[in-house]
Amino acid sequence: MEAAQTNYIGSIGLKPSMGEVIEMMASAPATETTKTKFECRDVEVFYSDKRALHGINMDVPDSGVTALIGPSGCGKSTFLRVFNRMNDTIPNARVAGQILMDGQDIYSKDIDPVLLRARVGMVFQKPNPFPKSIYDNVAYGPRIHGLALRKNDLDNIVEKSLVRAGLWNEVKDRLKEPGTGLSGGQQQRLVIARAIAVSPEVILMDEPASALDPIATAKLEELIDELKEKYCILIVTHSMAQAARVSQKTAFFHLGDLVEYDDTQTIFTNPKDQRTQDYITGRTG
Amino acid sequence: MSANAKTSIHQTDQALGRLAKRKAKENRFRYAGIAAVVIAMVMLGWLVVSLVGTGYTAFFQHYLTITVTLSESDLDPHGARDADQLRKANYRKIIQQALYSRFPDVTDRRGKRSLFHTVSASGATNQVRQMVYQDPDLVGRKITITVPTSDDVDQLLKGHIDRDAPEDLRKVSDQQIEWVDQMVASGDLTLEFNWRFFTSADSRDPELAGIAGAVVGSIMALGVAFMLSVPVGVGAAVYLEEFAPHNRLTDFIEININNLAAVPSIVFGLLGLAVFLNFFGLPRSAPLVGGMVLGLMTLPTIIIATRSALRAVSPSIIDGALSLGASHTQAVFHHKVPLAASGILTGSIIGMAQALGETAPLLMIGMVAFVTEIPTSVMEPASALPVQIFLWSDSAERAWAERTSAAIIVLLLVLITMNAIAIFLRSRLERRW
Amino acid sequence: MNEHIVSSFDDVMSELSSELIRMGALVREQLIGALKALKRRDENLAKRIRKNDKQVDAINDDIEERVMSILALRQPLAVDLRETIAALKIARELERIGDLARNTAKRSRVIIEQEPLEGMEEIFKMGYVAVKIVEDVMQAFENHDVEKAIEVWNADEEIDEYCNTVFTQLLSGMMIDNSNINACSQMTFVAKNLERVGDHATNIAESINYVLTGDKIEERRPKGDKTSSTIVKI
Repeated sequence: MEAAQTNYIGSIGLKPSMGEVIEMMASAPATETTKTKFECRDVEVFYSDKRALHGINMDVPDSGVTALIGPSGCGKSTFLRVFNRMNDTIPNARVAGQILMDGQDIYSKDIDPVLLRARVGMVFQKPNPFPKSIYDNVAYGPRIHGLALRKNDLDNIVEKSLVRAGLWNEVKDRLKEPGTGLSGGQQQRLVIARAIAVSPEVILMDEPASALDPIATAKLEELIDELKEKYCILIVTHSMAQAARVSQKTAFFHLGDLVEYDDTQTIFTNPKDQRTQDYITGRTG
Repeated sequence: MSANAKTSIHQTDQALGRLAKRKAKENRFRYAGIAAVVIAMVMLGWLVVSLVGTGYTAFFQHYLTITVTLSESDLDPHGARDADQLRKANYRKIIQQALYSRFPDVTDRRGKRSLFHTVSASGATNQVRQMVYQDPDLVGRKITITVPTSDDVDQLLKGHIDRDAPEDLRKVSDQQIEWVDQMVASGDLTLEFNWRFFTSADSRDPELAGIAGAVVGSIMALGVAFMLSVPVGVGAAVYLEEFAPHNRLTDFIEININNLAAVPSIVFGLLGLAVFLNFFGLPRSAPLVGGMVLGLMTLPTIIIATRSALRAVSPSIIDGALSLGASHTQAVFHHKVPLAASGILTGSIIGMAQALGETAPLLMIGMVAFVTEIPTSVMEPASALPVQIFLWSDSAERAWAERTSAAIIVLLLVLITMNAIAIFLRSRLERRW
Repeated sequence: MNEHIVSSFDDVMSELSSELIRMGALVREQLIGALKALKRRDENLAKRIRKNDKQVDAINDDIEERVMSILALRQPLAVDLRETIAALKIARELERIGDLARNTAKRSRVIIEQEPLEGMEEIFKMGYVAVKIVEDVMQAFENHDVEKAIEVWNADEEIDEYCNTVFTQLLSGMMIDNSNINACSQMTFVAKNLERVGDHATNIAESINYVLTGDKIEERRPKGDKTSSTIVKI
């Protein structure tokens, strides 16, 4: 970020080129990504006989936010659910190809989806806190995984998770109150705290802000921005502005194909594929 | 659309006409709905009013206070205070003598007999026998007791027997009316709350008959039914809904469960007769068997209610649990079942209420028997509330009519209580979650 | 290019580019007018040109406002974003060209007051090329013509060469007859103005190229202007 700014200031004395002007207006510059978290090789998903994803090849970086965009039914949510094997819960869904997480195939026999999902958390479109207290919501994951042996440890995990989700100050005095009594945005952050509490490496977000108002959305985006330092985040969103704001990498899906996958800045200023161009500029394709 | 409001097609006279028509249509529908509700309320009100109107008098009973002389010569000629002797002694005579001394001018046999018929013969004699048996020291003393009047006298005083009807058309003679009026005038004959109705079992004599035996029988049968059908039903439903593979077999089972819910209840009675009584040799008329039959009958209701309650739980909650790494079983038992609990409970209680009102299957397994004892275990013969009502409704005496209605009122109150408990528990459970 | 699903977006974008085309045409008129006034020693025309520059500025303001509203209301992305930002930049460049035309008209007053200079054909040839370049670049813009834009981009070198020649001529002129210094020194500014017009047109060409291809022109821009290091010896 800093380097990019100096660069920009350095060149402003000369003539700022078109690209540089746009660079200034577009989202934060891409962070350097060194490691790959997921390697997807020819990933296909079938619902019964219908092929929902056609051979996706994509590398997801270890840190930062990767956005998946595309029109409804393009397969982006299906693809997101590949990473924590949530498609397993859908009858007749079948995944082919390889998804390597840190080099290990998550669909191999020696990976238990239960443990995988502890490593790959998920946040859904509709805030879905359990109809329990705020405390119990966050404590549920650590409890089932046996992460805290003593009440004290559990309290610490709950507090830390709520702090990290930016919700602690709002709820610390009413941890015993039901999580469903919070506002939509708070509920979504509670769900994120719940996911963080099991110490995942990856957080998947399926249109997390689609039910939130702009302020709650902004808070959520701020949270995502903070979380990306520590977690690999994949986010499906219908809002291109949101993808542009929060992500460093953007993948455009269309009719089950990965059409274009590039730095977010490139996707939103200079996409290579006509279909991407048409989609993000709101043109009939 | 026109920018000028004046030219809008929605402001023309035709449009207003159409709107009026539409509103009239909606109003007609609303009135039809109100009419339907009113009709239903009137019918329900009618039922309640007629039940209460005929039934409430059964909660009160006329009692006669008389002084009886427990002469030793009548009761215990040998003076041994032998329990057997005390039980066998002629108490009837004692009551008769008490009455004759109350009305000394009655001398002829017919008059005496008809005088004796103003009190409940077995009720009075049993009462005295019980007292003496428990306290043999009473022998030889004079005591004042309150005994129920005969059902005819009771009905007469409640106005159910017409005094103005010709004597040969009513069950109470002119003479009896005269005695009764005298006793009322002297304050010996009073109207009191009929505790006996709630504390005793069935009897041949309406003035002595109560619903306690039937209520206990019903409670026992329901307890058995509950313990059988709720765990089995809920377990089956959870398994079928959440864990069973989806194949032809489970589809077949599902269809059959739905069909079972529609099977006439008497068929379950036949099943109980064939399996529990004839095959397993369980006792007839026992609440255990009745409960098992009612439990079988309720099973499909509970399974269906439980499955729909489980299905009503938002899948997003389960997704949330799964995404945290909960196993499917954990997700189901930590989240789905607790969330469905209120629905399951409601279904169960409604099923139980259904079972409570059920008569037909109980007829088949002999719970229709005439039982004068309050059962103390599920293996003893017992009756059940609806069966008791059925039995009483069939009896001839005028006094049974009010008792039938009173028993129905009790049954309805029990049902309302059960439903109220269901509502209360549901709201409690929902508040906790 | 496909049409936007929201057709009013298309309308707004096409209004923006017609506004730019109108501005280009006006700026070209101004430039021609300034050169004409100089050549015909027509002070009235020069005055009119100076006054007309306000119109150019007005269009520039209008375009800035339109761009602002597109950014705020339509949140353009990709090609739309490039087009919107380019419009802002092109308007800015055109406005500068307009300023240069006005400046030329302003300087013509002093030049007209002085004795006419001899041998000034080169500077008018240079003016012709500058006008042509502005015309061409706006045509490239109107027709979405990348090749033409790159042609303009390369043609700037020609102006630079003219500029060098004219500059040398003017320096020599001043040395020969110092009564010409007033007019000649103004004339060097005119030449410089025309050279700057070329530069601005080049910038416009770059913007057009970026809008249409999404890429920057990678080669180094030809730099033919050597006036900064020109010394004339007698």
